[in-house]
Amino acid sequence: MHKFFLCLRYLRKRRIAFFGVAAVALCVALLIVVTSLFSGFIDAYLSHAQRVLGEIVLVPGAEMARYDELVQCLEEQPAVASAIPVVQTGALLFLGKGDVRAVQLVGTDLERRCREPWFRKSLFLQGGDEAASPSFAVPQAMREKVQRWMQAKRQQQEPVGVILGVGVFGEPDDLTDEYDRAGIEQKIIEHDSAMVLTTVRRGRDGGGLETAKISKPCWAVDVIQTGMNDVDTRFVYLPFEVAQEMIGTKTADADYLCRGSVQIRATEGVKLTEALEQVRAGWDKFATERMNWSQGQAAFVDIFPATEGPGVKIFTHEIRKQMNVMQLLLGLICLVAALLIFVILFMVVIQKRRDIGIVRSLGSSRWAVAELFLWYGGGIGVLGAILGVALGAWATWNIAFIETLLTQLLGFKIWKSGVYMFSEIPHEVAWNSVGWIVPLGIASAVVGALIPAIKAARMEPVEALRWE
Amino acid sequence: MDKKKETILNASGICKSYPMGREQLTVLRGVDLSVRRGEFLAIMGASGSGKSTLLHIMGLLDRPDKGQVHFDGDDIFTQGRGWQDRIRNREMGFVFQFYHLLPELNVVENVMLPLMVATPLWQWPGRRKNLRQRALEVLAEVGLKDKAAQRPNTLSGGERQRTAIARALVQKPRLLLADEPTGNLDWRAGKVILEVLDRLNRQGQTVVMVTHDAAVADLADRKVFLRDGRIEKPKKD
Amino acid sequence: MFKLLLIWRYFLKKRVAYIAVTAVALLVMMVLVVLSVMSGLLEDTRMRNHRWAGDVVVARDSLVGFDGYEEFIRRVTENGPAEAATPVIRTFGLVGSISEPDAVGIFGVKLGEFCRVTGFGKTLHWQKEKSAASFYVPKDEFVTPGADLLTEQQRQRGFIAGTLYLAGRYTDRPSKSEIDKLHKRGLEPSAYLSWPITVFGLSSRGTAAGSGVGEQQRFFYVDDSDSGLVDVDMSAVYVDFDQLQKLCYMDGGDGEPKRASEIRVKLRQGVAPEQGRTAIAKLWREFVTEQQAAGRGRLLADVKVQSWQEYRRSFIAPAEKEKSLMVVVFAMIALVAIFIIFAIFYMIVMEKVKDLGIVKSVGGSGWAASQIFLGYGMLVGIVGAGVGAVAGCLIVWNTNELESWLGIKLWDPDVYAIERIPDVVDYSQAAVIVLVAILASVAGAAIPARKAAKLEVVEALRVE
Repeated sequence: MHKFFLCLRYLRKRRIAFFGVAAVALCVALLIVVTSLFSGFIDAYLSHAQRVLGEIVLVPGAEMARYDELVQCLEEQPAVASAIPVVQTGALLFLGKGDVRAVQLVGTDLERRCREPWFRKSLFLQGGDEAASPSFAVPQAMREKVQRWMQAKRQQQEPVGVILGVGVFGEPDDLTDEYDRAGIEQKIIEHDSAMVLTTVRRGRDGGGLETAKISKPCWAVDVIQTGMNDVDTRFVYLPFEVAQEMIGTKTADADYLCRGSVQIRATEGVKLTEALEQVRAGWDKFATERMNWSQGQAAFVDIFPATEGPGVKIFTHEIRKQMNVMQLLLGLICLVAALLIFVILFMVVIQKRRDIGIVRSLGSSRWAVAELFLWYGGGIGVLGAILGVALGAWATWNIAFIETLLTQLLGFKIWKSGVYMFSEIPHEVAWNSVGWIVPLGIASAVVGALIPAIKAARMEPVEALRWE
Repeated sequence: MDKKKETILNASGICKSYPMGREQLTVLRGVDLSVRRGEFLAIMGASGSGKSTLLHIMGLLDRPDKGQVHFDGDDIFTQGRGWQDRIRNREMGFVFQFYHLLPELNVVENVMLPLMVATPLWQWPGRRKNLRQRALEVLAEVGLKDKAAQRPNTLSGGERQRTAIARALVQKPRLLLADEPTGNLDWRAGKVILEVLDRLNRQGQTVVMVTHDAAVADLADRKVFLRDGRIEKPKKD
Repeated sequence: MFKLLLIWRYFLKKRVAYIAVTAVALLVMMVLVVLSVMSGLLEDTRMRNHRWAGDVVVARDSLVGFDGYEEFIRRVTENGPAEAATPVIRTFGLVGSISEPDAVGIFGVKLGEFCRVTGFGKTLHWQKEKSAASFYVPKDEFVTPGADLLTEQQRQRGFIAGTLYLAGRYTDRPSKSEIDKLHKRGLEPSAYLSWPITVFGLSSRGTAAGSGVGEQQRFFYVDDSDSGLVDVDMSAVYVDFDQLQKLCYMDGGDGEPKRASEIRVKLRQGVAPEQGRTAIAKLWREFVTEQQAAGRGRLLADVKVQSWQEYRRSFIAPAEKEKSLMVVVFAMIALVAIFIIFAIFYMIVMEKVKDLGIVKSVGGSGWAASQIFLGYGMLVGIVGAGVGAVAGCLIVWNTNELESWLGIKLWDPDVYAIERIPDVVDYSQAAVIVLVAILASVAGAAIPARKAAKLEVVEALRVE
């Protein structure tokens, strides 16, 4: 009992102990913030991958046609909520006078894609209205300008409607990293000439090396801002059929052969393995029943969860590695905290020599004296860890506020979507990391208390008392 | 014997109190005491009677709330700190109950400490030998010449106290103040210390000793008693 | 005298002194190592950017480019502060081969001049050692398989690809190690022999030029460039300036003057960067006024004259920001470190207050007594900071060896785009760190010593 009593007293009376508490709290808080930031970043990247790629990606091994039937076959599976056919390729976009951008052309099924709320909400013009379904069709407001342009250019065919990433259309403010939404909306509605999308496709002779350039006039009907930097700055969405036609090879029955992929979202509550199996089944059905392919041909397909895509996995691995380096660095700070506690306790042991002597002379054992100081260290650790968790959680939750503060203080924006891929800073506390950070904080405090405790235990009672 | 009558230290009206929680604990309430050259004076009193405090004030280790101490005619508490330091260094030697030796220094170095304090750095190389010789002489006087190179913590209590006495004597002070020099020692070691002090006194050294032990005090030429913060009038004598 | 003796004895005899020295040393070492590596990384980033960009860049954002570049280059090099200058065309293009086409940045450079103005030549793989790199396709089966089947005209059309881009086309993962493998076993003809490059031509008015669809030409691999700048190496293909100029309709075929997008300038020896930039900017303004007076300056108005730092600012800035963030974090650690040093000395001195009393009781003055502790703090500080600085320097100098010895790859060259961890110590920083550590030691000793010196001797003696 006397241990706890003395422990509590020392903790209360020795103001210096609070520096130890503060150090532990600081370490714990820093570790929590950094780990939360990094794991939040990884999560954001994974969910980004899932959004851009779907939960499950199906990539046929060769060029093929009849994606609509494949999608149908897949969506018949109960575990598949939606399957979106996608073709992607690099392209050049001529936006207007002297402005050519390198972009990623993405042919997609807008109706299916808009079933995902995040996509729909990210649209500038068509995002607000829940009832209407967004489309690539040129809206009434722009119709007149399109007509005028067609007349001027003596074009027969109406340009295809496209949705541009916000960064393709405008630049974010250098300081705040924000887009001028109103200005950009204005610009879409008012622009009065078509853009030209240019890409290349494989030669029709099938010789493999020959490529032919192909281009298409297009009209921006909307702008999308997802907060994912590569989508926002590089993507140009257009109808799947148009993209297929642009880069595919025409077949006898007026379809186009191309190498696309299908992005699949599983029905909620279905296990990933289950969904994967059903996607495979859907593919097999399509390959054997619709396409009459042999078993060997049908096997020529890649089906994988988006989070395990080759690029994704490597990227998250690298981020994890960086996180570990950061954690190592901050772990070093924990060592410094241990050092601080060691110094403080050493001081207390020396100052409290007499108390130790008295306690020993009253019959307590060496171990009890050592324990007293270990408890003391542990107490500092626990208190520091609790404070640290609170501080870390607060800082993580309010990271945007802190960032704004730092932006004002330092005069530059720290978190830029161009550098960190996302415009939003992760602000979820990685609670599972708390499970090892808190013991680490407490352990470093106890380790710091170890040598002082041993020193205290090794004092002879008489010797301890003689000090006066 | 005229010389013996000459007063070298005179304390008058010394008052001292300490804060004790919220209240003031008054230890000394106007003590008058004079020390004559060459005498062996014992200050006696019960535990807590303020005898150590009086000695500390006489030795310039503490300052009184009220009252004056004249040393050789000078009022010592009106003088500057530098002067006080010099008096402590040259004119007075102090022996503590708990020895107060520096554990990092060996015996002879501890004894040399007052000499070192008095010697500026640039004079040290020239004087080092002489000063060491002087320290060894004093150590020989207290019978510790062969322990000169040892560290204080390897010595017995009596030896430590003799080292402390040697340190107090090394500057040939006019006044030796001893605060319960035997208080922490067994009878045999205490006897040796007292013999040393007695011998020194016989050689002309003025000694003021604080003790609560009547047997120890019997060695002295003169005894005064402190009670209730005042010097008790001697009943006889 | 006793002061020196006591300082020395305290230093040797007290175990806590060793702890203090170790603590000071550890902290100094840690801060020094981290700061050195961080500023080394930053310095490295700056060096790469400088190497790739040249000293001063005259550039227009618009892909239309600007005219009169030949005349300006002549002026700047003949009388101006430039030792050499070269025009660059910067545009986007599609590189297509078997797989889907990639949209990448295409740079048209006069390779000989470009290598003289910038450090580009040093970033090449096959032609690194050559005095004059060229786009001429060598008849080397290993570098460009099948080169002997090409016509003379085709052999003029070599391209240089950014290392990471080349590697990325070969595998899913662009990494230096992949490209090393490629270099060792030679390139595969089907994948690398030739790339059709499509660019979008713009007239001087900014409208689509030529067919309005973009022009295509086949180029042949001659080399790859490892500039160490991820953004460049991931998406840059270099081809001959004249070839690209023709392809982009910037060669004056339409009756308008020839155009380029950038002029890269190397300053003369001894010209300060900022001074050089200002001089070139002034020359440029004069040039624009002159041209506009002659009715020719239509494309010149929004051309910017930038130092290489400004030109690459958005790529240097993140590294600088990261450094300043790390500095903030380490400032906190340093603060804790200073506090620890402080606490240690506080502790040591408080324990020694009695000694102070003893010294005073034999006549030492309060000041002299507290000097002991100041000296002690300084000695421990100097020894600790010295040991820490030496250890820190040793670690920094040998980081790479240490890393390979430990067998861990803290700095993956594929991620950080560096082969070596920075191993240069910034001595001015080191000096500041050491000084702060010593000051903290002295201050840590000074405050309790002052407090103790003020005590009456008896009070000091009474302290446990």
